[in-house]
Amino acid sequence: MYCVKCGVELAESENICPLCETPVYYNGVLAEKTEGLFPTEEPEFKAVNKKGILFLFSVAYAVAAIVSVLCDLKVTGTVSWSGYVVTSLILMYVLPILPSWLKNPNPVVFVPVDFAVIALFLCYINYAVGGNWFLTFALPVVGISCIIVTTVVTLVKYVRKGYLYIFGGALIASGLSTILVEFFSYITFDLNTWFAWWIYPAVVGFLFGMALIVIAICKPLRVSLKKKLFI
Amino acid sequence: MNRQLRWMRLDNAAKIYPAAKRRNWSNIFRLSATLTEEVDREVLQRALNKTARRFPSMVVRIRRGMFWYYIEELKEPPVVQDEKSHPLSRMPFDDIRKCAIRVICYKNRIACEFFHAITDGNGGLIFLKSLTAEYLRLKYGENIPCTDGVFDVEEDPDPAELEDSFFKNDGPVKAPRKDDDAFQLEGVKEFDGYNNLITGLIKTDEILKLAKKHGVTLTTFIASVMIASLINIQNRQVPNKRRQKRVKVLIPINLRKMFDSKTVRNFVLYITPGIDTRLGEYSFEEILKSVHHQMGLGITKQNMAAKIAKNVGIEKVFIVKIMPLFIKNFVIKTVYNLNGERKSCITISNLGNVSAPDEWRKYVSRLDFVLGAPSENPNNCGVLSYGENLYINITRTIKDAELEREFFCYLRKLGLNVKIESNRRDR
Repeated sequence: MYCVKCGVELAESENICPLCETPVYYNGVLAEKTEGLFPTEEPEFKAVNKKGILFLFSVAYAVAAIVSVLCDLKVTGTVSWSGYVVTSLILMYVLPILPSWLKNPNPVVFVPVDFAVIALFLCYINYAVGGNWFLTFALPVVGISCIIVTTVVTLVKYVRKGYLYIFGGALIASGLSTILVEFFSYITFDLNTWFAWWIYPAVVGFLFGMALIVIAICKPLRVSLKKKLFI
Repeated sequence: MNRQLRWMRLDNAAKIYPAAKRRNWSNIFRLSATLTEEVDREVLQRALNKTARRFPSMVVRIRRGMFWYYIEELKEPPVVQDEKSHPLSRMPFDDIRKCAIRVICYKNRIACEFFHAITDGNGGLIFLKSLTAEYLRLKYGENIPCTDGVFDVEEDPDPAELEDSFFKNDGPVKAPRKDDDAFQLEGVKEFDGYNNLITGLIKTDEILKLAKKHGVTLTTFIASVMIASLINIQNRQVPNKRRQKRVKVLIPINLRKMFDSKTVRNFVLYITPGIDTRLGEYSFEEILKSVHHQMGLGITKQNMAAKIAKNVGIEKVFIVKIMPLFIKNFVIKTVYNLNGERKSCITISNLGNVSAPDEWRKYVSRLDFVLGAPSENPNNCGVLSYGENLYINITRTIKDAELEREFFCYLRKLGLNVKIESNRRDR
């Protein structure tokens, strides 16, 4: 038998040319495939079961949480240190593992959820240690970060172009937001002066952000940078 | 009382393989002998039990020391295994830690799959020939003489067979290792690590006649056809000449004759002849001429000694010696991943014309040499000639057989009749 396309001779075991995938016809009928070099039964391919692994993780987290609460109750009679363990575990579960359950987790949903959980975690710590920094410092700072990151993620996901503008704007916004961070720390922690350090990150953020925007506007610069920095 | 198990350091070339392994890839190769009759599994197991004692550096497992890996003899010889749907199925390191060699039996065929750290193609061939000879003695009572690379399994191993010949033969000067990157074939990988194998059978005298007509050796001829095929593929994939890379093939050189060594462990080095396609078009004659001269210049005792010196030199540095194994692994793996496979497009390993005693040849109709594909590059090629045929085995981890198509059709266009076999699976 010869392949009509490649011209190579084919062994009896081949009914399709392994080189060009041309079927071999004999009297107008596809030639029969006989036993070849290797057995045809393939060993079952065992792909890693993602859901199974996630389930194991979930069980491990739950066991760790329950054991720590039980130990705490047994020793101290109340939920003291185990509260931190459980809230930390919840945080560590929601951030990396919860989105993994979904096939295509939408970051526009999960980013605000993550920030909300971070805020709740900090809230718990605040009340557990008897601090009074949550409402006036932690909540606004987490809120500002949430707004900036969610905006970037939303734009990147749905606009799908103008990345240099998006990240440039995000850098400028992050830099300028430090003024609010310093303000909140000033009113929360009774600092003497509130016009101390925000200018440094703000200037750095502004300069880098503007640089990205300039690169975005100026095409020749973008092309020459691409040439120098390609990998 | 438990007998003390023999252990050995890895030889110089072997040191890279356990370090470079990945979760789903280790460097393995396969040699197989097809007999005229169906193989009796039970007799093969008995033959293996006897042969295993004769090869204490091959029927071994790889173990971790604090500073280096080492090989240790097995307490019990391995069990003969069943064939899978493709050759060289995954050999995870957990398996290698139990046994670094597989003996497989399928219909008329006896196959041995070796982790490359324990031996090279020539050492493996001696093992396969000795195992098959012992099988034939036990099965048919045939008196097979221990010549032509068949070892007497009743004898004790000669210490010269177990030596690390690299350490004995390093030259006074170290050769530089700098080399250009080569063109890399790409494609869609098989999702489950299936190794596609296409075997081309060509009449040895026909291809030899053609090689002689061009005034080159068979290895040079095959390497040149491979280079010409790769050039055609690169021209299609990267039409812009200035963006093209060199097309090079890696050819292992057996150093045993050159340095008069009897070792059955690794003793090969490599040469990478190639063509710089950016310089312009090359005719097939020009490629042949260039490869022929590159091989002639590269394969000299002095050159190889200098290459050995470079490899051995690193191992002799005191700081390297006392570095813990996990750091060494990390460094070797990083260097391998960055450089190891980028310097050539494909490996073509030619074991040459396999000689064997006539009594042995009577029962063995065919031999095959299959190289496992590297971790990144999709193809590898093992060649040997036995009887009247030349067997070219090309393995592939991607779906499309572009290289094989180009290569075998090139041979076809040169006027050779090529017979093709494969383990193509229905898609």
